[in-house]
Amino acid sequence: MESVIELDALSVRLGGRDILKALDGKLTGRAIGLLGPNGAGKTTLLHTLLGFHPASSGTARVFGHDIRSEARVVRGLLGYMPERDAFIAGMTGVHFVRLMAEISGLPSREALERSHEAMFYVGLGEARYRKVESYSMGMKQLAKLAQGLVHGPRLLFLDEPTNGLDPPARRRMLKLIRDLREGGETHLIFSSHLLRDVEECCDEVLILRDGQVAAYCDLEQERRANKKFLELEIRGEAAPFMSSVSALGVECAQHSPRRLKMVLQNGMEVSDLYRIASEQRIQLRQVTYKQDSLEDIFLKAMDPGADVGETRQPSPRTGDDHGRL
Amino acid sequence: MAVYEHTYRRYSGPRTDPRSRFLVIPKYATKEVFRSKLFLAFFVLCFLVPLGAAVAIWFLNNSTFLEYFRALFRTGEDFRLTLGGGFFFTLMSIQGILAMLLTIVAAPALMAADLRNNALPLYLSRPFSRTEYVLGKIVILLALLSAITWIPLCFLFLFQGSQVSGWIGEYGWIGWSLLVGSGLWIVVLSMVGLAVSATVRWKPIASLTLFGFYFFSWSLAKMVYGLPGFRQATPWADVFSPISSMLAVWQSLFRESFGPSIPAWAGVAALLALCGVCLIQLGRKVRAYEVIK
Repeated sequence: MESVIELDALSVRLGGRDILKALDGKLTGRAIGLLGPNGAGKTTLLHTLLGFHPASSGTARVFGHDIRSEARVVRGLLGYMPERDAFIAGMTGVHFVRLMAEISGLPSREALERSHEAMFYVGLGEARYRKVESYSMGMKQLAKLAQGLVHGPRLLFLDEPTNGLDPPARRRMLKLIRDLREGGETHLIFSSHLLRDVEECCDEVLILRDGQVAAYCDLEQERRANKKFLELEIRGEAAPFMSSVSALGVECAQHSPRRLKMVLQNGMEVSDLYRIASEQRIQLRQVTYKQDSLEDIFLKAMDPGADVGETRQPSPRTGDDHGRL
Repeated sequence: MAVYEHTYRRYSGPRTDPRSRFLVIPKYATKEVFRSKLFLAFFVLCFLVPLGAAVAIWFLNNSTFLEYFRALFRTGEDFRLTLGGGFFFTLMSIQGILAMLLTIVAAPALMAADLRNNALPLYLSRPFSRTEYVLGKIVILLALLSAITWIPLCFLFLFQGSQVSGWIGEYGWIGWSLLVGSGLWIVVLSMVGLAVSATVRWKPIASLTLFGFYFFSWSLAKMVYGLPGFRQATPWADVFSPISSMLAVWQSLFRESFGPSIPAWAGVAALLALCGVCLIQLGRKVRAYEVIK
């Protein structure tokens, strides 16, 4: 799989403080979440990849291009939606986005065409001739997104894209981000405090703590793994049912006469359980996937006792671990 | 990202030459600068003096007018006004001061708004450097100031040369003086204008700061020279005033003398040092993000 970002002992020192401490890792996902508490180094990492801050040691590569020796090439591949309000005063939305497209190297005509398209794409088509400073908070966020993708980047950095948005605007922004991911035309790095937003939009998560990688998690694999861990509420004789499913290689444990926990093996589906239950005249009253939420993973990574640099390798669980790390 | 499909697609078309990409900035910024009617009016006013000078050159080289003038003022037959260094020094000084006022009005709008609205990360996250950003901004000022300094003055120089045969051969050095004198002054004005615009992020305050800087430093230099203990042959305090330094250079270039001044080399050195300070300040301020220590 093509690597999007490779971190190679990347360290950044700013204002006499070590902000990023020898980050290592390889990110390959279509949408990569960047999580961490305030001051963890999320924004500094994005800024370093963009060339805003110099690396004090180590380096990173974006699509194989070194950020130190090929900074201009790297920036040519990127789009950036900054966290803070950022716009050019006195310009209409479409002119602002067009200017940004031309700065990225698009010829004037193509820049104009794509700036109109970008404004429509983000939902600002009707407001594209209004001055940017007259936009509401949500509209400014969308205009920032439009300028970030007008030049067709291979990788888009979204720094807290849902900050300050009301619920409808937030839903709209998340839908756009999911559309971008599912379109498959661009990769995304989504930096946020909001676990739910990241969980909704990303398939990989890098959690930073105190400038170090606290955890890495492939959410896609995690979701697939979660589907194998089930809680069942049954009515009827549990023992024959358990022995039947165990014969198919399913790990199974009984917590009460009516409640079972089981881990499905590869190649086995929930429909097989229904079939066996039907054959044995057992009622399945409730089947629940035991979810290991991103919040669990995040809290574990933030645990002061936990070692930083943990890489979560998704693996089949046993009935004892209750789906937790 | 077609409008009708509402889907995102990457761009794979042609790209512009990276070496000329900085010209995108003046393309957009010039529209912004000329949006102000007040600025436009002032810009037009800046051409009145060269226009008047062109008319004067034509009259002074017109035999019918000269005869009428001699009859009117009862001057002798040998009366004739010769246009030389003094005439062009006066024009240069007037246009130089107008150029300074134009910078005070135009320069703060160029960078202050970008910095106040955090636009720099948007520029610098693209294949576009800080140098190109500054170059793009300075090109606007250089073009505006050129339009009211060396371009009309060189036109007047050539016009006068076309009226009197052999005049260019005798006064050819004025052409170089116009180019060098204007060039140095517009570079200084542009650098100071951008440095102040990058430092003071509020437009009216930036304009006031620029105004204060030029006139306060000039007044201070004159005041120091006027003090009993400092009254000496060379007013060295002038090196702290860009206006006085530039006047000293112009006096030397146009071979004119209007009272005591610092040597031309000291004026040039002072102005270059000021440009250096402005460059350092631009280097500090034109960044995507400032690191707070």
